[in-house]
Parts: sequence; C-alpha cells; structure tokens
Amino acid sequence: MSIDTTLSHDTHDHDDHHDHKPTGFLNRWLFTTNHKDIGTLYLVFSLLMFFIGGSMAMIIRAELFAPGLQLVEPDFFNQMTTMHALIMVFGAVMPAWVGFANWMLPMMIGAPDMALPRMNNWSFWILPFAFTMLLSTLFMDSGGPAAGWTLYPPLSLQGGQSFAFVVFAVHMMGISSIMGSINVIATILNMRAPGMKLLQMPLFVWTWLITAFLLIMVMPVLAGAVTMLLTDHFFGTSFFNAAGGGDPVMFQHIFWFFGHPEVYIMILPAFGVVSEIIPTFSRKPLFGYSAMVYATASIAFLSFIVWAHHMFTVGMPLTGELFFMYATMLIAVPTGVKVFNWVSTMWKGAMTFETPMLFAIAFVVLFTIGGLSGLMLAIASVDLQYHDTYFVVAHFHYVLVPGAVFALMAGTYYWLPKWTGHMYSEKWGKIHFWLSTISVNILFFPQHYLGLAGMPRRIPDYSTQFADFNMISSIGGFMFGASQLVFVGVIVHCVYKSRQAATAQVWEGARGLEWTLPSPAPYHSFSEPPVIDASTIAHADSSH
Amino acid sequence: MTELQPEDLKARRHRVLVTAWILAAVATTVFVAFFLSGVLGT
Repeated sequence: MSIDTTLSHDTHDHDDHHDHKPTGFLNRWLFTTNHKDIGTLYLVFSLLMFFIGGSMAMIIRAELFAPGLQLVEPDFFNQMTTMHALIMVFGAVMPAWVGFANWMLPMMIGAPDMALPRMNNWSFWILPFAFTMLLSTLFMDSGGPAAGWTLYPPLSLQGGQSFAFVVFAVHMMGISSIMGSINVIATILNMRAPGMKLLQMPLFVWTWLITAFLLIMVMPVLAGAVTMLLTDHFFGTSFFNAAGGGDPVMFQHIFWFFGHPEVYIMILPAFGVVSEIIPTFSRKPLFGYSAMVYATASIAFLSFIVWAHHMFTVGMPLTGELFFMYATMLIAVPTGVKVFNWVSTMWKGAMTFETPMLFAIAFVVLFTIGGLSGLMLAIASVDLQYHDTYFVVAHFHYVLVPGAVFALMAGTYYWLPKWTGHMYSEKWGKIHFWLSTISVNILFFPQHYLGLAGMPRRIPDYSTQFADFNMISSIGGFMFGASQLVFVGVIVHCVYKSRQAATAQVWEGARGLEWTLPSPAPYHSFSEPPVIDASTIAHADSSH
Repeated sequence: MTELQPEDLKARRHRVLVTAWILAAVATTVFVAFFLSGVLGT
C-alpha cells in the first residue's frame, strides 16, 4: 500500500472493513504492503537465520568440545565464527526486531499501517538476496569471510575474491535497515492517533523510535568503512593499508563508532518489550515511565561516545583511556534506572508467571549479569587482561542471548495470541523457558572462567587446562540449540493446531491500543483513528 | 473512533514525505562524511 492508498484507505466508509487478504501466494507475500504480512515475513526470515547461525554455533561448540582439532579445518572454523556473528547480528536479531516493529507499532499508536508501505516491502525483500549472497561465499574457492565480524584489516584484506560479495551483502543489509528506520520514524512521528502525545506512547514504541535514530546515524558509517575496505582490496587504495600510508587503526575507530551503537540497536527494543510485559503480569503500571524514556535516550546518546573501549589494547593516550573508561561506566546509570524500575514495577504487584513473564524476569536477571561483566571490561587497566579472551565472549553473549534473544522470545509469547488468534501451549512454553534458561547458563557462564584463565577467543584448539569448562559449555550449547526446536513446535502448534481461541485483551493486565483490537488482529486495523483516553494508553497510570 | 478529514490526510502525507527525505539526507550525509574522512585522512 503506498501512501496514497494508505490515505485513501483511511477515508473508506466506516462499515467497509474489507478485511480480505490478497489472493495467491505471490500477491500475498511478494507484493505485500501490509505491515502485518511484512512483519510476519521478517519474523519467519529471522527464525530461519537463527537456525542457520545456530547451526554454525553448533559446529563451533562441537569443535571446542575437546582440545585438539576435531572436526573442521582452522580456516573453516574462522569462517564459522565470522559468519555466525554476521548472521546472528544482521540476519536474526535485527530483522526480528524489525518484524516486531512492523507488527506492533501501527497497532500500538493507532495507525492503519506503516507510513511508507511500498518501501516497507522493499526493505524486507532486499534481505533474502543479501544473505543468499553472504552465505554463497562459503561455497566459493576463497571461502567465506574469516577475519571476524569486525572485518579488521589487514586480515580481512587477505581474503579472496569472495570479499566483494561480503561487502555488497553488508551494503544491502545497511540499505534495508536505513529504509526500515526511515519508515519507523516517519510512522511514529506522523501516524499516531490524534491526541496521543509522545509521552503517552508505549515504551516499545519509544525504544524503537530511539533505535531507528541510532540506525540512521551508524549504518552509513559501516557502509563507508566497508566501502573503503572494498577499494583497498580491489582498487589499490590505501585507506587502511600501512604500506601505502594508510592506517589500520582508523578502521577500528570507524567500525566501533558503528559497532557500539549497534549493540544498543539490538538491546533497546528488548528493553521496550520487557517494559510492556512486566506491568501486564504484575498488574501494576510501569514504575517511572518518564524516567524509562529518558534513560533510553541517555543510553543511546552515551553509545556514541564509548566506542574506543573496544580498543584499549590498541593503545591510546591516557586521557583517551580515562575518557572512554568513565563514559562507558556512565552507561550503568541509566541502565541501572531501568533495572530498578522493572523491579519496582514488580514490587508488591499481583504477579503471575506466564511464559512471557518468565522470559522477561530471566531477561532482567541475566542481562544484568552481562551488564556487570561489561563494567568489568570497561576498566581500561583490567581490560588489558580480559581483551580477546572468552570473558568477552561470555559478556556479549549474556547481553545478546539471555538479553536480546530472550526478550524476542518473551515478545513472541506475549503477542502470539494477538497475531494468530490462538493461545499457545502454556505447558510447552514453560518447558521451553526452563530448558533455555538452564542450558544458556551452562553454555555461557563457564566461559567467564575460561576467559579469566586466559583462553583466547576465535581459536579452534586450546590448551588442555581449558578442557573441562569447554566440554560443559558445549553440552550447554547443544542443549540450548535443541531447546529451540521446542520453541518452533510451540509456534507451529499455536498457528495451526491450537483450538483455544484468544480474547481481544488476551492478558488480564494488558493495557494499550493493540489489545482493543480483536484476536487475531484484522488484516487492516484502525481504518479510523481510535479515541485516545486513559483506558487506551498503555502506561496511563504511570507516574510521569 | 475519530474521522480524519481529507485535508488532514494530505497534511499528514506531506509530513511523512518531509520526514522521510530529511532522514534520507542525514543518512547520505553521514555516509559521505565518513567516506571523505578516510579520503582526507590519507
């Protein structure tokens, strides 16, 4: 649906709900401009990418199950670590959040669709081509990228001809993300139901608005960096080639100017989802709504001035080290505000522990562990010991797996009844939760000890002193991977087999515009803007 | 439910397009600026 048709859609008669879907597979999915269909496409694509990236993680953990080279060649191992990260970051977590944004933002702000529906279609359909191109490098003579997802030169420039495909794939992912962000911002700023003020929007909408601004500011930076790598590799320039007068360290600065905000791009929407779920199952308004909004904005601002904490071992002036160390530690303040507010929301609430709430609580606890190890890494003098060890691997996996991925699962269980019109199996949802929570800790917690003992990351072989913890970690990895099959089973059962119809509100304590729509949400929702009052504002009773 | 008037819709469409073009210009500027920073730095 173009803007024109969106607007003409708005002017249809009240009784004309025309809830019909396009007929034919291609019409429905290839040419769709419907935000719910595009949201579904994003979510299915990201789930597929989770399993492809997860399979690579299984190869990594199988190789590391015991010391010595077991299964794969070292170069292929390096390709696996690199591709696992690229796919999980750009193919799984980011598209999953865009899928959530597509499905939920219009319904949460009372809009009929995204502001730019045709661009929305294009944003999605670029992605399968980008990842086909990226994955195809594994079958080329020179193999896939093997220098780590950071693509540091000079190592990344020593790859073969397939490097051009990697760069082009990254460009396409970036274009997709930027178009998606433009759509999100244009939608939130212009398409809210009349009367909905910015500080009345649900937290998930707020966190996505801020995330979209982050994306617009940093994805072009990554595009510039990889373009310079491309010309260094194929056209004889020397941006990062020391032999030609270039500076490899400059690449690291540019990359991390993108890379650190990228972490928050993956975690801010998670904060939003958890901020929706905890009040619902605590049956209390969110504690400190305004503080949550300002904390999110503060985290986003600080994410731009901390990039060099990834580079303490590269060397920089003492004042630089001090600045980046203290700026990084400062992020703990707004993050602490968030954790405090989530706990305060639960405090004395009439809590129940359905699957979304279990994942949300696990998020709060386990993400905090990842945050605390991040504070340890922020200490410049100590980072010299931790840098490039498994302590770093444990840290960012705690932030991203029981952090971002658990929030994605929480959000899926939370809104799945709204999407499908059916309740999922609570029993199997809880089985999925406990299997995932136990196994993710078996997987990643021992990696802290491995790192502290000095095991370097990105190696296929290691000293025998690290054998026990690696074996435990691998067992946890296999368990976590297998647990996700339960997740797929629960979703498939909910979509196709569940006979338990979902009500419009689904959850007793749920508040907000999306819950005023029937379940499943009609193909076209809010043809006429809803009336905004205290009963339809998600966090209406929050203290501002 | 509240009904939007055609002039409201036209104004909203205009605001959407202005927002989108401003954001696209920002993204392009950032890309060019960082690329030039590499050019000028060498």
